[in-house]
Amino acid sequence: MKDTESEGYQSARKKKSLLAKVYNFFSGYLLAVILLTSLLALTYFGTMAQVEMGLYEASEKYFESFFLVEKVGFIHVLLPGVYLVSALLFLNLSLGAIVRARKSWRRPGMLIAHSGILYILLAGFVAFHYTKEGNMLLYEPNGSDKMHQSDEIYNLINWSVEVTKYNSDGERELIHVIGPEQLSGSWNERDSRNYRNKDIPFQIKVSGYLRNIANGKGQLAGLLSEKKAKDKGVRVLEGYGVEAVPTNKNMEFNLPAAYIDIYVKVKSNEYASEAASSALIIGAGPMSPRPFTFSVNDEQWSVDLTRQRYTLPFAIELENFQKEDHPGTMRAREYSSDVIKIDTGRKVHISMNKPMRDAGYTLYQASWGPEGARPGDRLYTSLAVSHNPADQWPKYGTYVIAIGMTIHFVQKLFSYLKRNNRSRRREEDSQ
Amino acid sequence: MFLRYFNLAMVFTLFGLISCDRSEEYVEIKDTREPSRFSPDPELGLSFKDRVGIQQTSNNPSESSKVSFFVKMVGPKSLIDGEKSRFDAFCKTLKVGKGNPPFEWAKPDEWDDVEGTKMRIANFSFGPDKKGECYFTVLPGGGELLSNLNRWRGQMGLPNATRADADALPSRQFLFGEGKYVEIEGSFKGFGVSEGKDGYKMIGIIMPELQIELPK
Repeated sequence: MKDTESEGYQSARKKKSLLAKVYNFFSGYLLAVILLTSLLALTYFGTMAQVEMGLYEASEKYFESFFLVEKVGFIHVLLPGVYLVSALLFLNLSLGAIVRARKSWRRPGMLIAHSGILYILLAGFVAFHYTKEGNMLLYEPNGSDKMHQSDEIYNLINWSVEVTKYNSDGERELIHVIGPEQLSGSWNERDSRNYRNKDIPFQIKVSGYLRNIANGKGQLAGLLSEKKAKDKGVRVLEGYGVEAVPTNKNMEFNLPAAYIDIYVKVKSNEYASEAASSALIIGAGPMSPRPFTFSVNDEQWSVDLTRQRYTLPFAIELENFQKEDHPGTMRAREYSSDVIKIDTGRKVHISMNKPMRDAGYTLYQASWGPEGARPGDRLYTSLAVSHNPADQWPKYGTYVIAIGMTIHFVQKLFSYLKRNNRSRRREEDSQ
Repeated sequence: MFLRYFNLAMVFTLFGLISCDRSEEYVEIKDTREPSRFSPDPELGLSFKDRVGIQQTSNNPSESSKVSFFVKMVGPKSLIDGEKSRFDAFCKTLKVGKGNPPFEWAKPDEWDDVEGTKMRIANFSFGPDKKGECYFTVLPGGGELLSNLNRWRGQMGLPNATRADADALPSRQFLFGEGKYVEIEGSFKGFGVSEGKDGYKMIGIIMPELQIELPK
């Protein structure tokens, strides 16, 4: 009996020690050093890779991933991504610097400073998952249209398929959105996906989705004439087919394309076996929507491949766009926009490094266009719009760290002065 | 025992996978959004060519395409009047040559070269404060004569001309054909500049939408 008890105690101790070992590892300095070194290496690799891969793909590979494969010489090495390293660092700091650390009112500085670092890591997590960003285009006012006003932003990288219903006057009623996450994943040549909604009287089959058919100059290099498409065994619709073109480093230059087939709903959850309409759709700009249109049950619908859009809780109007060129050239030296928040009439001058902040959104002066515009052409301003719930958190985190470090160093200074005084007194006493 | 159940489960899974009707798989469209009250109304009922804006496919380079040519000189009126002869001389030397872009010209000695841009093949400045500029541009498409004339008139703060005004412009030998000669005065408003400069003059030649063979 005694032996059994003893064995049980031993095994419990073993288990406890294993847990303790795991806890010690995750809260220890060794892991912290490994993680910080990894972050340093990944930042270097990620920054250098931007030259070859472009900003977006390099960020995705190095900074937004759990794991990545890096080729070092001839060997492929599996490395943790910055996302995983940051998550582990958050765990390591929480356990090591907050839970495990000796807490005393006499030494609050380090605790506060580490809390600040945790806050910044949390800000990164929130920003990564919850930031909405895009661009807003506003044309110079010309008195005849509303292209100088907008409450929409569009994403430069992500695309979506928009299915729009029109009323009898030809006005848009509601837009159903097949978002980028529903178009993501690998698409092989023969792949297709069916998209449905109970309020839509048809099913949309998207097939042959290509991430890019344009070259860097905006030409549709992947667009094939009927003859060429047939020679290559590519599907032809309305006299054209498409083939993939390597994606551009600058992801905003990519234009996707896809074939769509419309299958009309026959009964609840039952669709016709033959397509009522079919079309080839190509990614289009936000300012000149030209969707594929068709009728189902005497209702007019359209399908368009567009950059992902968000609607802002407020609208902006461009009052004036100023651009100053370098003398004798058409290269812009500086440009800025005078805008009005329509609902409140608030006027703001947006220029480089002077964004407009309102309702949690930040609007920066990003660029202007159209590219290659000639004197007298109507210009537009492009404002980069970002909604990041953690926008100001890194600043607050930095303040917290600074306060913690100040407390810590002031305490260190005082204890040093105290020790110094004591030893001086001792020396004086001994003399 | 476990192995037997495991094998059985595998067989059922396999059957399940084989019997799956993949055509019934679908993705639910969940998101909706209201149309923006400011976004432009879509153009409906267009053919594929019109939707994409195809005039010619990029993979069919043997087709011909329209290209427009422009030469323009602008600056304070007195300066432009004084440089007219050099402008004429420059235009006469402009010709198709070797190189990329395939044009050659002789620059008047009194003018200074300014770095060209994507559109400005030749680009010069002149005058005591470099207030005068002259440039030669080639544009794919480029629009018809009237729209270009009105664009230029707009830059000089002048009202739009009519088609009859455009047709009445004098012709001038230019490059490999005839262009329309424009001479206007007004308050010049440069690119992206909000205030016009009074007492300016603009002279130039427009050769719109010439049908040419694109290189193969």
